[in-house]
Amino acid sequence: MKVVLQQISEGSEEIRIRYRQMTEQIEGIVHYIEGQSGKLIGMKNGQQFVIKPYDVIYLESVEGTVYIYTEKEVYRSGLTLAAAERAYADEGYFRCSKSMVVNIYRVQKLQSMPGNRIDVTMDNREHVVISRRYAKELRNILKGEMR
Amino acid sequence: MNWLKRYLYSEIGIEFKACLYFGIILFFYFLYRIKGGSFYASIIIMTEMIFTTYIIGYIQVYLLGNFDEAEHFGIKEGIFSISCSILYTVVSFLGKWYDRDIKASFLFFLYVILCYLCVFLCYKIKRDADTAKLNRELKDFKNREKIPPDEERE
Repeated sequence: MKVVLQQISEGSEEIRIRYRQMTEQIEGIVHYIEGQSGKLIGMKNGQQFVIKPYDVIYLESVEGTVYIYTEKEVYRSGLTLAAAERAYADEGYFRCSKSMVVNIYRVQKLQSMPGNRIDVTMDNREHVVISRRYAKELRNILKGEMR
Repeated sequence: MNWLKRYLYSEIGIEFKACLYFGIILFFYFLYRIKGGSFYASIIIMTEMIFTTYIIGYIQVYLLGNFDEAEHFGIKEGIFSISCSILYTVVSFLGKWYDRDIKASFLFFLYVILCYLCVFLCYKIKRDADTAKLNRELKDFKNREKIPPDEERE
């Protein structure tokens, strides 16, 4: 694989990966870039904070911006929900709706609801209702079936 | 496509409930016939029964704000259940399902209310069992050892 590095004096920095087919090696690189070696980067009051994946209770997309919710703080993130779910799937991150990714390790309890929906109580006592479509996937993950 | 999905979802629900309540009512009708010493049932009455269950299903969904006794049973659901039971009893009386016998019609009315309550309890027990299973699996998931990414790739 050819590596091209280009120094720029203006404009925003970017990393572009050109691939024919997604391989484990490329996925690993993406995982590394998106995950900043396992940690998430959150922005608050113009400052950057490094957040451990376990500390995140859930991520929510509000009007195109993704926010990271921990026990006490809320940070803005540059990640997309899809990227977060992909990068931290091993950390228990699960896409529970179009606008939310929850950390299964920070789920306090689950409750079965009518219509095959699931009510999720997070560690911060917030409730998230998972629709039938996403609930099926959650059930598979909990059973240990591959995503 | 969303409206089509919603429509089909409601229709399947109505269909399912109509079959369920038809079975329930039919059972009472059979008991009534057997008690009266007859082993024959009227096809006309059975047809009336299935149509009634369908119509009441539509009333529950489209007139009573998608009232579903399987989801929750509070004051509102209690009132709706009694209303539907009255409706079933009135139809049974007009259609001579129980030969316009007041005692049998009243018992039928109580039986339908009891069935509404039983449907709720059955679903509640099923949901409670599912909740317990989900929480057990959640606990197992949390206790499951995570495989380090490097080891996983090997």
